[in-house]
Amino acid sequence: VILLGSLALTELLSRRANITLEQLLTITKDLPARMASTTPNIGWPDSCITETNQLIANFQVTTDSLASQFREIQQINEQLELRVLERTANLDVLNVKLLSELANSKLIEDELRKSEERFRKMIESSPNLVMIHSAGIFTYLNSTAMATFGADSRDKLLNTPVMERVHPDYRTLEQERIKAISEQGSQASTTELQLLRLDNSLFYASVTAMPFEMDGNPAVLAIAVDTSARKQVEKALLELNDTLEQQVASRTKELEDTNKDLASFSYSISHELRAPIARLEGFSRILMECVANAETDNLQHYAERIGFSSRRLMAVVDSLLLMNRIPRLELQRESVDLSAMSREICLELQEDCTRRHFQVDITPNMMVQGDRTMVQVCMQNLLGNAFKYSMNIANPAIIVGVTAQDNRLVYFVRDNGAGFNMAFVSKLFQPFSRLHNDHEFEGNGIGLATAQKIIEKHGGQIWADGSPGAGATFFFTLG
Amino acid sequence: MKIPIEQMAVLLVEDNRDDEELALWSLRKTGITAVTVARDGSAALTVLADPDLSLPDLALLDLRLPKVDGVEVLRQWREATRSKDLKVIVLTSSEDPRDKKACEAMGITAFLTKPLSEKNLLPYL
Repeated sequence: VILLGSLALTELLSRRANITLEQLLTITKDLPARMASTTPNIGWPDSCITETNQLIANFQVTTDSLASQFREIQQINEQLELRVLERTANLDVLNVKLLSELANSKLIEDELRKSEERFRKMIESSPNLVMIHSAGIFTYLNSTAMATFGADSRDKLLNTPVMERVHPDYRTLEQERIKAISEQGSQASTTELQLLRLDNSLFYASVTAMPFEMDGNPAVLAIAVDTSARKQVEKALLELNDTLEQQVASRTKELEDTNKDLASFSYSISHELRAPIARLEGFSRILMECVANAETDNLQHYAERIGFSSRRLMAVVDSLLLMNRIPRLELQRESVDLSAMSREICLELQEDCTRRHFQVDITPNMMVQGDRTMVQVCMQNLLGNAFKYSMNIANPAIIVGVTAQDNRLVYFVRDNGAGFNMAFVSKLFQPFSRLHNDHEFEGNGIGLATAQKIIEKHGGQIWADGSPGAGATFFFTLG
Repeated sequence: MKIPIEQMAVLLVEDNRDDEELALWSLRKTGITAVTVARDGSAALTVLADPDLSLPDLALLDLRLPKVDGVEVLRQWREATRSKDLKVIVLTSSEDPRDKKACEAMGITAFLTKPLSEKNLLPYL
């Protein structure tokens, strides 16, 4: 029993000790959480065992100290959290500010980029050559400059010496100018240069150069206009001017010559008219003297000479009027039988000159396109001359014919009479110019000039061949 | 030495028969009878160039002449030593001032327009 009693007591004691320990176990299980509370309410157990109570008391002291420290830490934590919140709020404000600043600078950058693009585009699309060079080397060229120099890529010109593109004749001057601009800061200046393309062909340019800065280095900005086209126009204008001046000079010369010809012609007319008038005056004076002195021997002769001069005067006036009318007459072309016309004229001329028989040979069926009246006058003059200049020889023969020369039909009137010296052939067709004197052959020097005007009116040509004593041939075409 | 008019030898250069007759008539009226006639320019040059023929005292020169015209005849006369001082009267129907100027530049006694008359010839004899 004692054993049993001691066993039971032990059991009881042990149970009581256990209960306290279990309580302590429960209390300490959630102790840290409860210590954090501002007013920890912990019911510490009592034990019957002194040692246990000591243990509990220890726990209590430790717990109180820990609780006090916990609370301190909690307070510090709370303060820290507050400061973090405050700082976060500050940073938020700053962030917004920064973001807005960022957005702003982006806008400015955009603007700057756009602006630069605009300027670049302006410079690039400029019709002028825009070039920047620094230390004698090209650092920028716009498209026009590239195209003008004949470069298909920028590399062909960039970083190449500027002077390679300047004609050697201009290099010294241009170097001095660039030096003045880049080193002494001279003002912009414009000059006319000859520049060289990449193929070394030449073009003219008006180049304005001014001081510039490139990446902090002194440079020269050159803006040039290709003036080759202008130069060409100028050259063409100068040439045209020259040509015009030459034309004016030659036209003036022509007009002066024409004026001289006209003056000569009018003096010739005056001479041709005055000569028979002077004869009329002279013979009338003699006639009057004879009558006054009752000298009758030569009266008839003087009267005849007066009649002759009157007729001569009339003939001159008529011929002159005819010759001068030709250029103003309207050409009326028709088919004219030159053979038949020549035969009729020859018959008339033969009738007028009964003392001599002329052998006449006319090629039949010569048909020409011409103005009948004018061709008639022309043939009268040519055949009239042929009869006149051959009437003093024994067997006068006259031929009217046609021959082919240089693919054209050339008509001719030939006689075997007095002929003429070819040295004076240029005088033949000049009005009033005569190769024979009046004693030998009468005439006023208008017949051939008239014939020439008629032929020229038809767009043809007339020329002559002959030699003294061996006859003359007059050739003509009718256009 | 002044030669009496009647003894003067005259060369008449004239291609027209009527003008020749009129000139001879006027010359005769002044007393001149020794007249040689040249009927064109080259004849006028030949006559004066011939050393066998004596030089005339006066030449009456027409300007409109066949072959060589009067102005050219005068020029060649003046170039030749023989005829450079020959007394020449130009007788013409021409009114061309250029002819007159050219003749006067080569030294002529008178520039007369046709018809010749005793009255306008005498002052120059």
